[in-house]
Amino acid sequence: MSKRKRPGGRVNSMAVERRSLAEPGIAGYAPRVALPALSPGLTLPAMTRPETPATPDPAEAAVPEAARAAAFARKQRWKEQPGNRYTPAELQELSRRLGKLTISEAGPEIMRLD
Amino acid sequence: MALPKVYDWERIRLALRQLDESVPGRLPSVVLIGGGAAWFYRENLRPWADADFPVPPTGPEEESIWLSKDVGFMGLTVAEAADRLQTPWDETTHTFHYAGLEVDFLEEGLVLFPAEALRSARQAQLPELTFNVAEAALLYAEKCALLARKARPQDHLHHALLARFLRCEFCRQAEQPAVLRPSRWVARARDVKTAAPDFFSADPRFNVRLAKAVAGLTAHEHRALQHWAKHHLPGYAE
Repeated sequence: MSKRKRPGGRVNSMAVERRSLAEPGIAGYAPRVALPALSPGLTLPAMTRPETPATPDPAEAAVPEAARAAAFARKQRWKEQPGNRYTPAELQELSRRLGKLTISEAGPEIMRLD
Repeated sequence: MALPKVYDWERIRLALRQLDESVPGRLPSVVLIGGGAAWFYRENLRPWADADFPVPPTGPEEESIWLSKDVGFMGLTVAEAADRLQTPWDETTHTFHYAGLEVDFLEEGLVLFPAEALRSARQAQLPELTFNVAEAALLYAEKCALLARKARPQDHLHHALLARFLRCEFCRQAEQPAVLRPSRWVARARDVKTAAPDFFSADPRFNVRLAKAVAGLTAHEHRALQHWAKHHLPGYAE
């Protein structure tokens, strides 16, 4: 199966997912590679993993990425201010008063095929 | 801005309970992440008292940066959380000030995203509270990514703890065939090795112990581990 890529980005599977390979000529989108002929009715949703997130356009992503980086730095500065972290004594006290803790794997075992 | 309140575990329990009541039915759909989640894994590793995999020792200086007083979750957007908690978002602290806690709802990490965090979450159970905690392998992958791209001292500590926890757990599960869940074990091993290609080769003691445990498995359903080990565990021999 050929994967169509947008310039400078990864496969945008969500965009691909919305259309059928059997339908040629979607306006505004020119595939860079020839698509293989598929049986009528065979569409990409059957072949793509539904949980695959859409890849944002690099230009569109630039601003949120910068904002996220700034927020990350701001948050770290906040953590480093006096009083915003547990002291060793406080951590010991947290451990001492925690009580019985169990961390278990919930849910049925699901075979993953990827 | 230093927090004016005294933080203690009772307050955290109270806030989590209140959060559970304020967001009815939603606590099961949010996942504890970040340093708080790593701390719970540390507290889970401690009572195992495994001679090969003790809790990594830390001095006072490292302990003083181990855990910050904000609690990070995934599973709600900031807008959803603001609506549910009825409290404004503080952009400066990147948290909600809620019931004496600083609560953050992260919409995405570097490699950690809500859908996968929820799908794979583990359940942490305390005497009076049950909540989701992000899968250790996902947290470890996020910490690997953070170490590669950022320079926060606490990430080294969390990374070391999660590596120790995962190595211990890989061995303990392989040593207890009765409770071993092979597909999950292999999926986790694959996730961890993707995050850190040398994870299964960097610690000789771990390597030897795990190889021995996997070689000792006899049930047919455990063949998946042996197949995996043949390709990914240095020194493993059937």
